[in-house]
Amino acid sequence: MEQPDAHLRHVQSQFLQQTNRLRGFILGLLPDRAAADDVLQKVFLIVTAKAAEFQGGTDFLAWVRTIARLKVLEQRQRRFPAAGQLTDDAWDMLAQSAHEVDDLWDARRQALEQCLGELAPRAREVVQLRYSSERLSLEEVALRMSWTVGSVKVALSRAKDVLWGCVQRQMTATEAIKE
Amino acid sequence: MTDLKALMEKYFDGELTDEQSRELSRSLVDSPAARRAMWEHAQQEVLLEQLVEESRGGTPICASPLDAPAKDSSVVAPTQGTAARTPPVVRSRRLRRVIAAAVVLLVATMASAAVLPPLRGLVARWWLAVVGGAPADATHDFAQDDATQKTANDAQPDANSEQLAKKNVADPAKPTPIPALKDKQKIAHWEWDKFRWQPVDASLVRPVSTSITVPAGHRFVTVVVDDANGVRVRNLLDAVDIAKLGGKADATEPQVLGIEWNGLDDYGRSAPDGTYRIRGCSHRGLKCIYEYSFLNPGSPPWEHYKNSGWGGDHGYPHAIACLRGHNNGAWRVALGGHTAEGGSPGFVLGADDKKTHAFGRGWSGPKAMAASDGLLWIALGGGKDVQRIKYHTGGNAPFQTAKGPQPVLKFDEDVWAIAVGAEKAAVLVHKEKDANWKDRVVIFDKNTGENRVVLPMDHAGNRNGLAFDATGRALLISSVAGLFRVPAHDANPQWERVTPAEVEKPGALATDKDGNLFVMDRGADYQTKVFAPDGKLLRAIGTKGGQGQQLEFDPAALHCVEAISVDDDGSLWVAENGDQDRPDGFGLIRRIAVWDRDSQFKKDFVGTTWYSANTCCLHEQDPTLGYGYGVLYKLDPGKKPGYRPWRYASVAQPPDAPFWIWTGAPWTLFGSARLFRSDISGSMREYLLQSNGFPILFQADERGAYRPILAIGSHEHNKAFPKVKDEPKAVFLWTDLNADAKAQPDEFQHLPGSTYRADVGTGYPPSGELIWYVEGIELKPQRFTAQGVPVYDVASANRLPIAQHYLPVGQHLVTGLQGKFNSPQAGVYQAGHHLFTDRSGQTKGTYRSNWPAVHASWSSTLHQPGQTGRSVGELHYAGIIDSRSEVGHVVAMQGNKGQSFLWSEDGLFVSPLFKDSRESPQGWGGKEDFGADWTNISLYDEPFGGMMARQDDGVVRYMFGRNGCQVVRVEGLESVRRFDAGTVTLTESNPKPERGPDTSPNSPPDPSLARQASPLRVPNVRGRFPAFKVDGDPVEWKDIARHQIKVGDDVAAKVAIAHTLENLWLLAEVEDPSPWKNAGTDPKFAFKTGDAIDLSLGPDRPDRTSPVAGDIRMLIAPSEKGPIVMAYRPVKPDAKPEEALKFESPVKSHTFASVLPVGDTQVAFQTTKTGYVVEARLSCDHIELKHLGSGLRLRGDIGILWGNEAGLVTERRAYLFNSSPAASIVSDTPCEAELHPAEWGVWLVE
Repeated sequence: MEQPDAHLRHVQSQFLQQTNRLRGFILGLLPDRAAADDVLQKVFLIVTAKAAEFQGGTDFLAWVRTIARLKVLEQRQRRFPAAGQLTDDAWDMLAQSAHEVDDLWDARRQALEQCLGELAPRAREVVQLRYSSERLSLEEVALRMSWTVGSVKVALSRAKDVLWGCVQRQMTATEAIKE
Repeated sequence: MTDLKALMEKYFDGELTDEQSRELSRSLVDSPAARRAMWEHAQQEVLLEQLVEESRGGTPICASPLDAPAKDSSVVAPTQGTAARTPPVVRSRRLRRVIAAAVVLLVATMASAAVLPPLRGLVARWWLAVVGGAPADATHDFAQDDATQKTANDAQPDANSEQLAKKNVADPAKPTPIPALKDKQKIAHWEWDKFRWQPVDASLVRPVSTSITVPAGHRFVTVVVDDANGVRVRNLLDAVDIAKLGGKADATEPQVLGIEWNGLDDYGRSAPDGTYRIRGCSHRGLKCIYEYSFLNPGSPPWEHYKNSGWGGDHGYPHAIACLRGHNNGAWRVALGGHTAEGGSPGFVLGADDKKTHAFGRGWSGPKAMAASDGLLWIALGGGKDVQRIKYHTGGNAPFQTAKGPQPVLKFDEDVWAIAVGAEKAAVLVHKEKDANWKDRVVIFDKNTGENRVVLPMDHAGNRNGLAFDATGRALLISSVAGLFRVPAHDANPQWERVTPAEVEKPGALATDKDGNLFVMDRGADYQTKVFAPDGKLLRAIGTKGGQGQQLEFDPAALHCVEAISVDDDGSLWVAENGDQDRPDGFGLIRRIAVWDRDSQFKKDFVGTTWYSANTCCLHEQDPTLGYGYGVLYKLDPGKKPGYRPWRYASVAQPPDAPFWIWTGAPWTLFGSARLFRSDISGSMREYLLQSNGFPILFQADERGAYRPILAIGSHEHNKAFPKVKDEPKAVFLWTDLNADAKAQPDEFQHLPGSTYRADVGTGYPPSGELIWYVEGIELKPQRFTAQGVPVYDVASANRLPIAQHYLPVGQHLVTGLQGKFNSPQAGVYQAGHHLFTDRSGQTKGTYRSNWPAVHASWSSTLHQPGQTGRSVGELHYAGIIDSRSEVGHVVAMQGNKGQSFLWSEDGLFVSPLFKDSRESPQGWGGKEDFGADWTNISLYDEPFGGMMARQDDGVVRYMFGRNGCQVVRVEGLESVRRFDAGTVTLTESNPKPERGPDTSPNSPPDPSLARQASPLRVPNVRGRFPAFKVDGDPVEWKDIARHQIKVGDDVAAKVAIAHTLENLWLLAEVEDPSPWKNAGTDPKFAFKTGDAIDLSLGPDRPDRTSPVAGDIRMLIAPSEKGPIVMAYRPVKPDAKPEEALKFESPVKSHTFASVLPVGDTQVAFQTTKTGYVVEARLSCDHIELKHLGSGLRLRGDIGILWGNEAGLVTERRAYLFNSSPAASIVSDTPCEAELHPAEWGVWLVE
C-alpha cells in the first residue's frame, strides 16, 4: 500500500507528464486559450485534492480527462449561449474520441519541429507572433509586420496549410519507415 | 475536407459563426475521421505554441524528477547536474505557475523523504527560472521584498515566491506552497436597479504574485493590498475558505498560499507604478453558540417550528378568549394580535401553556376574539370579517344563512370587540381617527349572522369592552361615558347606563362561568373588579393603583390592559399592551398575566418584540441586563424563562420635555438602542442611547430613571431644535446644561455646515468617552457639569476631511460613503464603500458595499472569490468590540440576507457571522438547546435589529431576533492573526496582458438572452417504454434532459418536463436535507410554509410585463393530508368572486382573480440520499390548454421552494429562468405570491 504522501507525489508527477495532452484535450473542447488555462489550473487543484481517489495502475489520463471534461462543461454552460459553440451531441462525441490521437504527440512534435524550419522566414515570423505567449491578435501582428490584417490572415492561413501538409507527410513517412 | 479544415481553423481561432458551428457539429457527429482530425488540430495547436515559445528562448520546465523519462516530449526528465538538452516550454504564465508550484511541492516532499538529493537543487533552479527568475518581464522586485521582509511579522517569514522557493528547498521543514489562483476580479456595477458583475479591463491587468503563510489550523484568509502610504488599494480576498485556495482546512502545519494580484484597485483602475504591501489576516473560523432568548415565552422561543414562538412580530396579542370546558385540553386559551409579518398573530395555548395551534398567518391577524359553544370567533381580514373556527381543528364553522352557509360575516369597519350570548352575538364596530364617526354595536343571530340591529354609540373607545351578562340576553358595553346595558333581543333596544359605583373608568369586560362580570377599571385603582350577577362587588384583582409611575416592575400590578378573559378555574387572563393607559415615554410591557380566583398573581408571559427586535439590546457591559421598549430586563441565561421585567427605564414624559424615550410603534419599529456605562464624567454612570432618525442620549439618575442629556438633530427631526431660516435641515447639538430635561435656547449649538440627511436607525453612536463624530465634526466633551452632563464646544471642535458621521472603532474611525455604515448617504441602488480612517480622518482603507440596505440586497449574488466586496444588504451597525486579537477592535454590520459582517478597525474583512439565507442554512432547531452550535444558521431576510458586545464576563455576544431576542456567544475572534507578506512592485516592466478583454467565461450571460436563445423543449413521451407513471421512481425519465436550477454555483435541483399530448409530466430532483415537508395548514399559503414545486405557464407573449388571461401558477406541495396542488390565476375572466384572494403586507398587496385547489392531479415523491424526487402529472385542463400539440410555444418557469427543517416556513427559492431579485424574496407574502411572466422562458412542445 502506497503511503498518502507518496501517492500524492505520484499523482502530481503524472499530472506534470500529461500536461500537454490534457491542455490539448481542454483546448479541443474549449477553444479559448485563456479559459482553457483556467480550466487546467482548476483541474490541477482538483487532482491534488482528490489524489487519494486515483487508483494506481488505472489510466491516469482517462481519470484526469473525466475531471477536465466536467470543468469544461461548467465553463461551456456558463458561456451559453455563445456564438460558435458546438452542439451538445457533437461536443459529447468529440470528448469521447480524444484518446484516438494520444500516441501521436511525440511524432507530431518531431514533425512539426522540422516543418517549422521549412517555412519561409516571413511566414515563420507571422506564425511566431501569432503563437507566442503574447498571443497577438491579427491586428497586432499586422502592426508589427507593417502588413494589412488581410495579408496577415492569408499568410497565416497559408503557413498553417503548409505546416499541416508537411506534418502529415512527415508522419506518414515515419510510419512507413517503421513498417 | 478542405472546408472542414477551414472550419476547424476558425474553431480554434474562436471565429466560427453559428451557421458554421452547426456545420462543424454535423460533421463531427457524422464522421469519426472529422473527430480525429479535430484532435489532431488541437494537438498541433498546442505543439505549435510550445515550439514557437521554445524558439523564442522560452522558459524550460522540468518533468517530475520521480519518473523518467517522460513520454510527453514537453516534459523532459533531467539528468544529474544538467538541464534538459532540449528545454521544453510551457507557454502560459499561469500554467507555468501551476506546474512550477507542483514541482516545488514534489521537491519539498522529496526533500523530506530524503530521496534523490542531487535532484533537489536542480529542480529548485528550474523553479526559480519559472516563477521568479528567468523572464525578462519579471513581475516582482524581490530585492525590495528582501529588505522589507526583514521587518515583517516574524511568524510569517516567507514573503515571496523566490524566497519561498529558496527556503523550501533549503529547509525541508518549511511548508509547501499552494499555487495561486488567478485574480479574477469583478466589479459591481449598478444601472439604477439593475445589478451586474463587470469584468475588469484586461488591457490594464498587470499580475504580480507572492505568497502568504497561514498558521496551522487557520481556515479563513483575508488579503489586502496597501500602497506605500498604507492606504488600501485592493481588498483581494475576503475571509475566503482556504479550501477554495487549494489549502487544507485542518492542516496541522503552516500552509503557504500563492497569491496573485492583478495590479488593479477595487474599482478596476490600474494601480500606479510603485511598491505595494500585501497583508491581511486569517483565523480558524468563528463559532456562534446559542446561549439564551428573551422577549418571547414560546417553546422554543422562536418561530418556524411546531408549537414554537409566541405571536407575531408587529402586534402583540390584544384579544384574548378562554375556552370554556377545555381547561385541560390542547385548546385552552386563544390569543390574537392584529398584525404580523413574521410569526402567527393568532395562536392557542394548551394546558401546559405551550402553543398548540396558530392561525391568521400573514399580515392581518385577529383583531377581536370571543369563545363560545366550541367555537372561536375571530375578526380577521383587516378586522372587518368575522368568522368562526372549531376548537381543535381550526376548521371554519360557517353561518347558516338563508342563502346557504357563509364562511364569514362582513362589516364595513374594524371590529373591536365580539361578544356571544345565548342566542345573539354582537360586535363593536369602530373607525379610528375620525372624530365624526360614531362607533356602532351590531347585534345579530349568532347562528345565522342575520337579523342585524345596529346601535350607535358615541366613541365607545374601549377595545374588548363588550360582553353578555349572566343571562346571555343582555349586552354590556363599556365606553368613555361609562358602562351601559341593552336587552339584546329587543327590536328597538335602548342603552341603559349601569356603571357600578366602584368603577371609575370602565374598560375591557369579561364574564366567568358563574355569571360574574369582570370590569377593568382604568381609573386610579387600575384593577379588574369582579361583580356578582346581582351587582355586588366581590373582589378587585391587581395591585391597587396598578404600576402607576413607579420604576420597579410590579408583576402583580396591571399594566396597560387591553383585554381580559376568565378560564374555567376562575383565573383571570389579561393581555397587557394597551397604549391608551400608558403615558408617553413610559415603558411598553407586552405581557399575558394571570391571577387566580383568589386574586393572587399566578404567572405571566412576557414578549414578543416589535419588528425583528428593533430597539432591543443587551447591556454593553453587564451580562445580566437586557432592554426593550423602555423596559429593563434581568437576564438569567440558561434558565427558563431566563428573563424578567426589572424596571421601567423612565417615568412619563413631562409635557415640556421634548426628548424622551420612544416606546411605541412606529417609533420603535426601526429604532435602535444601546445601554452602556462609562466613568468619563468622573463617576460611573449608566447611559441609554436611543436612535430613530436622530440620537438622544439618556443618563440614569440616582433613582435609576433615564433622563435625556443630549440630542443631535434638526428642526425636521424634532420641533424643539431651532429653526434656521432657509436651512430647515441645519443640525444642532443639545446638551441639558441645567439638568432639567427641558430644552432652553442657550443649550443648543449649531453644527455649522451640517445638514440633516436620512439616517434611520443607526444614530451616531459615540465612544465610551462620549465623543461624537457628526458630519466630520469631532465633538469631545470639554468638561462635565455636576450632574454629569457633557459640555462640548462646537466652535473649537476639530473637523475631519470628509464630512460624515463616524463610528469610533479602536484607534480608527469608520463610516460609509453611499453604502451604509452609519452613512446618511446610503443609496438604494448604487454601490458605495465603507471608509476606514485614522483618528484624524485620514483614509486608510475602503471596502466596497455593493448592495446597501434592503432593496439592493435583492439583487445580490452569493460571494465568489474575485468579486470585490462580500457584504450584502448592510442595514445598520451592530456593535464594536475589542477582538482581543492582533486586529484590534472589530465592528459588525448586520446585513439583509441573514448575515452579519465583521471588519477590523483598519478595514480588514474578518468574517461573516451566520449564513446567507440562500446558502442552505441550518435551522434554529425545534427545541431550545442551550449550547447548540448556531454557526450555520441564518438570521434570514430582513433581520432588523441586533447588536454585538463583549460584556464584563469577557464573552462576545450577538443578539438578534424576529419576534423575540436570541443571544449567541461568538467564539474564535481571539484566534485572528495578522500577516504581512512583504511588498510587490509594479513597474513599467511588468508583463502586459496575455490576452484581450475577458469577454465571457466568468461574467454571467444576460438571462434574457438565455431565455430567448434556449427554449425549454418539452418532449413527447407518449408510447415510450417504460411508460410514464407517477410513482416517485424516475426510471422512465432516463433519457429526458435535466435542467439545472442553481443557487449560486451549486446545483440545487434538476428538473425535467415532458408531455403525452393530454398531460404534462414534471420531474424534480431536489437537494434538500429535510425533504418534502410543508405544513400546508392553509393550502392557499403553501408557498409560505415549506417545500414546494412551483410551475408557471402562460401564452407565449414576450411583450407583456404583467400577467394575462391564461397565465397560471401551479404549486405542488406536501401536507399532512397528502399532496396539495393549488392553481393561482392572476387573471381569469370567468372567475367567481369567492375565488379571488388578496395577499397583503406593509410593502404591497397582490390580488389573484382565482386561487383554487386542483383536484385530480397525481403527485408522488420519494426521498433520496441528498433530498427528494417528485413526479407529477398535470392534465391540460389544469393548465388551461386543449392539448399539447407539437410546435406549441408557451412561456413558463419551474422553481423549487425550500422550507426549514420543520417544514413550517419557506426559507429560499430558485427558478430555472427567473433570476430577478424578486424571485428570491421569501419575506413578503404578496411578492412571493405574484407571477413574473416577463422573466419566464420559452417552452417548445415537441
